[in-house]
Amino acid sequence: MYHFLAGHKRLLLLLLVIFSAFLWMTYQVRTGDRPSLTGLSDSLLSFPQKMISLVTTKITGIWDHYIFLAGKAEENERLRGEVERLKSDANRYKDVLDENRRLKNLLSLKEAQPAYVATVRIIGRDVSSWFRTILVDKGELDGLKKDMAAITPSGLVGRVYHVMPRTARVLLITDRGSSLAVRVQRTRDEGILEGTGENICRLKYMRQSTELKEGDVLLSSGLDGVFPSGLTVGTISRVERKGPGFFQEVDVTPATDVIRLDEVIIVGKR
Amino acid sequence: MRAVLFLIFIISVVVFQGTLFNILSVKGVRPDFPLILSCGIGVYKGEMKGLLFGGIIGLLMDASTGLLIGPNLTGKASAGFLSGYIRGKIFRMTPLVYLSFFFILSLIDGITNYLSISIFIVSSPFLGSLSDIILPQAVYNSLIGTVLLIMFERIKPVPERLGA
Repeated sequence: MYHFLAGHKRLLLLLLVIFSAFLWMTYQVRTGDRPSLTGLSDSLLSFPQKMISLVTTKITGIWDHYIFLAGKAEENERLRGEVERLKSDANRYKDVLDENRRLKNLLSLKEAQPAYVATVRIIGRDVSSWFRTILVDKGELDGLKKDMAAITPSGLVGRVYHVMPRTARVLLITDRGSSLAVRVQRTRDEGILEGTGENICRLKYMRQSTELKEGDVLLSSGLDGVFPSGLTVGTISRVERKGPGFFQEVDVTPATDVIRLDEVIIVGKR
Repeated sequence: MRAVLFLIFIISVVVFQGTLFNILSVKGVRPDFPLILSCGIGVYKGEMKGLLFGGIIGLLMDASTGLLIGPNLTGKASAGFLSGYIRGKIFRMTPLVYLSFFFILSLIDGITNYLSISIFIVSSPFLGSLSDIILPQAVYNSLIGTVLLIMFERIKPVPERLGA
């Protein structure tokens, strides 16, 4: 035994690391305590993330509205300069117009939300494929608190689950750890919407007898005490009544495309 | 100085993973560059450095997510260690070996993450996670990892078997 252990010291070290990590995870789950490391990491990461987010937004704009078009414009040598200039101008205006429209929508949403806290920009996404979270550019200093809701004009996006002084993390409704109380707009039936980790959610606890159909709109019911009631959450995209089970299987497509988000509004509890 | 550069490098990789590399995302799955790097370090520098690099970068990834510290720490440290360990047992590295090498290590990382998340955060069906996250991620990582390692080999050849 001793010889075996002596010959596999390195392997033992790996096992020790794994064992310690599992003990640490047990401790975190039992105490609900997240080590201050998360705050430290955000202090280290938030600034470069903000910078990269700014730079990529600019580069994407240049790529979408200039380089891509420049390639096409080469087809016509004679008109190239003129077309370039006009298209560049047009795209710049389109970009401004798009931004204007987006901000206008957010502004009207802000005015309609009495519990408005802040408008935030997304500066990063989760580093692993296992979670669906976003990092936003405002935090505790701007009034954000844990369990506040993140919304867009199209509907609900998620909830703030971790707040640092200058940044915060939002758990998207598509994350498999997310659940919220919802109501079917047409039938007034209530259920729980859970994330799947994909770009689709699942409506749970809907009895076989409940009359649901594709296209039905889901609204937040507010019964979870986190999300304000009446916000659009998504539409039913698949209903399956099968087997002797008590409940039906219902897929829901979120109202907001959580992959293509630029800004969201944070609202508190009313 | 080396430690500071090392820290800056690790932070940059984690920052890029959460920002720039999103453009490589296919249905929510991106190549896991921290994992690929941990494996690369294991291949070039041996299992202990692979373990150390994987452990540190995994810790930072977990801390940045803020949900639970441990899944990536365990997965990346294991992958970094095993890459050095396996490298020590293989006589000749070919592209096919690299492909299977990254594929298996990515599977190990994925299964470790799945177990940690299922035990400590929220349980989900294994087959669903396997087909939606673990396998696509392993295929993606093995392709990108192999290309990167072959390219890097031209600059710096992989050393002879370490610790064989």
